[in-house]
Amino acid sequence: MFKDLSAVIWKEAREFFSASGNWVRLMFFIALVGTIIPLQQGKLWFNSPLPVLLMVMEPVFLVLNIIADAFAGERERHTLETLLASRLSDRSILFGKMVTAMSYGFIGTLGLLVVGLVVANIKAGNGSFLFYSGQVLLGSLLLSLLTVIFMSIIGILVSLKTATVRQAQQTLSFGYMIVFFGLIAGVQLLPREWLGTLFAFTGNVGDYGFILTIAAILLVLDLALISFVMARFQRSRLIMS
Amino acid sequence: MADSEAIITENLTRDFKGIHAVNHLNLQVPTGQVFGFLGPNGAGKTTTIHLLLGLLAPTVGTAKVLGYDIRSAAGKIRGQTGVLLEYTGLYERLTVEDNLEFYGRIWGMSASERQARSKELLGQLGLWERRKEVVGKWSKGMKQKLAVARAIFHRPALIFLDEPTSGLDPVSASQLHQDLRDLVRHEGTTIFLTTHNLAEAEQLCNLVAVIRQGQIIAYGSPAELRSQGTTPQAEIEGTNFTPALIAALKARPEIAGVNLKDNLLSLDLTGTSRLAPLVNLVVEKGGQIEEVRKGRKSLEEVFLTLVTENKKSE
Repeated sequence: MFKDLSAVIWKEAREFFSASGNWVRLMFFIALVGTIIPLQQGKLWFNSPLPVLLMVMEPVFLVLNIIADAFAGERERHTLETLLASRLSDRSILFGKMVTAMSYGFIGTLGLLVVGLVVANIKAGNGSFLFYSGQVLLGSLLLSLLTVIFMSIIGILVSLKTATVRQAQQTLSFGYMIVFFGLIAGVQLLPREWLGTLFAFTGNVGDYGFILTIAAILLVLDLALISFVMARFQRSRLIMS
Repeated sequence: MADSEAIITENLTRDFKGIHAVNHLNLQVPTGQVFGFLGPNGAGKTTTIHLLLGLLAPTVGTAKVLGYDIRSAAGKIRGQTGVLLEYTGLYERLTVEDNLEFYGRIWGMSASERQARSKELLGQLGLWERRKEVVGKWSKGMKQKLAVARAIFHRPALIFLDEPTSGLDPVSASQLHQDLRDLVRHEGTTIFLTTHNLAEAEQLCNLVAVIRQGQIIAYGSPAELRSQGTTPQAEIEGTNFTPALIAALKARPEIAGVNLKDNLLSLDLTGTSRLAPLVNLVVEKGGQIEEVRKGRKSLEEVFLTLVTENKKSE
């Protein structure tokens, strides 16, 4: 299973990075976000919630960029049928593609953390070395990882259904906007008592408790989605589509 | 299943929305032979390949490929087969060697094995010097060659080839035919070949089946098929083939049919008729003969006859 998985990851990475634009996009994104905001934030970069929010949101864009291609791209370029006719198991194909997209998103997170660390130290270090607080580091790494898993699975589900990469990208971008703006509007529409309860809860559990609670919710969602996508992934269905 | 059969199907059927794409297919493909699967577009050839690879489940019936049941051991079947399907399935953004490298990894070959096999196959196909090139920039024929190399890369026991010479120039096609024959002879590989090129089937295949609307309408060696339900023919080229001459020929019991087109008189003969008395008759009736040929129908003519007759009988 591991050999098969690594074969798929090897191919995906090779294919993705054979287009130089994808490298440039990743580097540009890390350089831009990892420089401008830490420069503005200075010392705050190491212990405010902003970097956590950025680390959660930033990989989403990177994952969206790669995951749409997973199956829609194979279908569009007529390589899917031959791939399905190989000895690879369903899981190797599915998880190979998922792990590649997740890694790409998570590399973005790690890149942002490192570049932000250097830039904020240059700006506000004053000779001493500053590092992220435990909450920022845990929140950034854990929530970012769980978010890229979430987005990868959603992306796979969309890519399985759509005929072209462009269609998959449009569906994913549109879906992301709906969720993003829906969440903002949803929070504003919540009754005051509910918001009060939420703030009281975060106050009671503390920063770590809050991060772990969100992580637990994301983990449950991820596991449920993984089971769902495994059930949806059927060779016969893909061959006929 | 006997080891001598690479593929056996029993009443293999696949329906799509009530339509039989493959209809009670009974087929036997002996090991180590080139089997030609012929049929018009939409006859059920591709669906049959999908069923045999376990990519689709049959509606009814069963099949064994290399001794494995297509329902319960599809993974094992795919593990021992190579394919070149309707599209080449090559990754056009990758280089030639990366395409082979990927499938070599899939088949669990070691790095040294992959490298040696790449060199061997690309060398045979004259592509070794171009291994660093991106596949997307290649012509269709070159891609087809590479796709064949990929299909046989891991030395599978059975290869499914769907129109393998499509897009190849005659020299490359002839070279591929030779490579396929060598593969069968030296490695005992079984080849399941679909083609529209009936001359190719005639040259390459030990056994052929003709499929139409999901059903086998003829099965046997190309020689058997040519003689199956078809009559020997004679062709007389010349001039002065008058209506009286044609009427006289039609009256003879050893002639099943006469057809005149330009200066060519085609005679369908019954059984093993002798040609000499007929030639005498033509001369007696004033025909000026330039050339006389006797022979059987080509596989292409048999195929067209079979498909047309089957269509009429519906």
